[in-house]
Amino acid sequence: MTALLDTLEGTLGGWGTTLLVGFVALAGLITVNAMFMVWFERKVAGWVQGRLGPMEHGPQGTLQTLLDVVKLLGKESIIPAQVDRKVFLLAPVVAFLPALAMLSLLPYDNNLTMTDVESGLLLVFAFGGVSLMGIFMGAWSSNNKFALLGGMRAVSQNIAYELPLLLSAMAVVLCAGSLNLGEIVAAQTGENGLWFIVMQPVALGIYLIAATAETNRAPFDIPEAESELVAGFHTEYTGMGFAVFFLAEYTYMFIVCGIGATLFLGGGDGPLLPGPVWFILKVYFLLFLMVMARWTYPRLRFDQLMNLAWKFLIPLSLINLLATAAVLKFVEVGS
Amino acid sequence: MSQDSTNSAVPVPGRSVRPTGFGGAVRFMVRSMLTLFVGLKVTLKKLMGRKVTEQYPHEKPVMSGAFRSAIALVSFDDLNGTHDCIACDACELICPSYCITVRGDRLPDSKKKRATEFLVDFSTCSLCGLCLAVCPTETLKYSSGYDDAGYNRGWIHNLLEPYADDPEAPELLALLTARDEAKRAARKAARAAKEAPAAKPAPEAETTPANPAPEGSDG
Repeated sequence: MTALLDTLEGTLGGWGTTLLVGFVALAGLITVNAMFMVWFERKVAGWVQGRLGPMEHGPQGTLQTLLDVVKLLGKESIIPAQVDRKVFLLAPVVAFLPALAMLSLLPYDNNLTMTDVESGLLLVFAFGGVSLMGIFMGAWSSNNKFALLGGMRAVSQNIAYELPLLLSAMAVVLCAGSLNLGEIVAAQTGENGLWFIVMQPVALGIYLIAATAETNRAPFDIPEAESELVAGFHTEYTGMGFAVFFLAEYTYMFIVCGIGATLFLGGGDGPLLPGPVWFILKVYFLLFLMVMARWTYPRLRFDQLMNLAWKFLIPLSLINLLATAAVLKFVEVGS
Repeated sequence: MSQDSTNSAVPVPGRSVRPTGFGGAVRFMVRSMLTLFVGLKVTLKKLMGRKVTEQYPHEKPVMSGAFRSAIALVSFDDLNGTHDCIACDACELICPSYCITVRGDRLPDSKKKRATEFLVDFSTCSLCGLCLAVCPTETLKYSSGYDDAGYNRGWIHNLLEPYADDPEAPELLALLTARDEAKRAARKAARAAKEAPAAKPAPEAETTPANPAPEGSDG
């Protein structure tokens, strides 16, 4: 293993090696995460409803998603006659690619990150905005009323919920004193480090709600809204185009939960087990909460969704931010 | 309106049950947020709880005794596990939907009749039970099968199919004769028991079984 890495470093240089190894690892992570999450989601859905979920393929149906992927690969990719072909084909890629960049920024352990950027947190949220463009491109180019409505809802929802998401993250940034994700983790670990869930419980609540809305998941699945809009923005997508949108959705779930674990749960901090294992455990705990929320809460109507963001979450996160700033200032003056 | 007053303890978003004023709004918000955890508690309990799914092809449900499926022939223990259809045609004649066809023949060197063919067109059967009621030898029953499937209109149940390896005619005749002998003896004993206590009433006479060898069924 180390010999292989040395050879790589000799031919590609340090940066090239990081890129190659990181890309392969992240591609694996994306695939395994999506397959696991789809299976896990169906299992939890079944369990919550007193059913068993997938049981036929593999122990407890673990191979179900793999077979679903094989089925999806065999499907015909239909491109409707009236769509804007170039944009239509490009949209899933635009929606998916930022996920790779965002994953490369996550700190999987104290020093284990593919690209260590000073303003990592800001960059992650910026890339999140780009993926929204992919969704709207797909919705617009589909030339379908349901897709367009879904796309417009996605945009307005994401704009509304990006604010509380950022503001709750900013409260943590104030505590940590850095936008670098590695340093935010470092601020929670060490001698008298305290996970920010203790200092910022309100921010965590706001973050989880806003993150669920950002990833367009139930109870905020207004852009997809099966009962109203067929399938929302991906109504016209079949086969691989649909699969890529699907993959993007589950990857973004991993990313927002990864950021949540970094900001509030101390990243890779934990006893006994190695850091990356702790990180993955925390991420999947948050993902479990998201899945449970989907199978527990009724969907919000669109105006309720907007009200929740603008009238409740944003003021609350602003108050939280102000209170955090004030307390920090008092502590600074006091000491 | 009246609903609002009865449900005032449960905050329903979008309904006008919110208390007024700033303090009321804050209390409403807090209470609403707490209800989120109530919901989570319910689903978490379900998540851990018992699962009701029956893995159908792998585990099959046991049907209740009252379940009615296509009729079948009862196998009798005292007949070595075979049926007792005497091809009397009573079921065929009484069937309101004409779905039973019975053919029979006498056993060689005997007056005893025996079914050679018993066909039921289950697609027209209404499960009324008249054939069961009319059967003189009580050799008809409802089967408990629920996953039968026919693939064309000529779907016919052959009730004699499970009895394909019945004993040969002489052996069968011996069985039937032995059964009839036993029955007759039992009846005789019962009559004797009934007449005896008429002379001197004895309590133990009532306890002697009136019919020690009933026709027997495995139901």
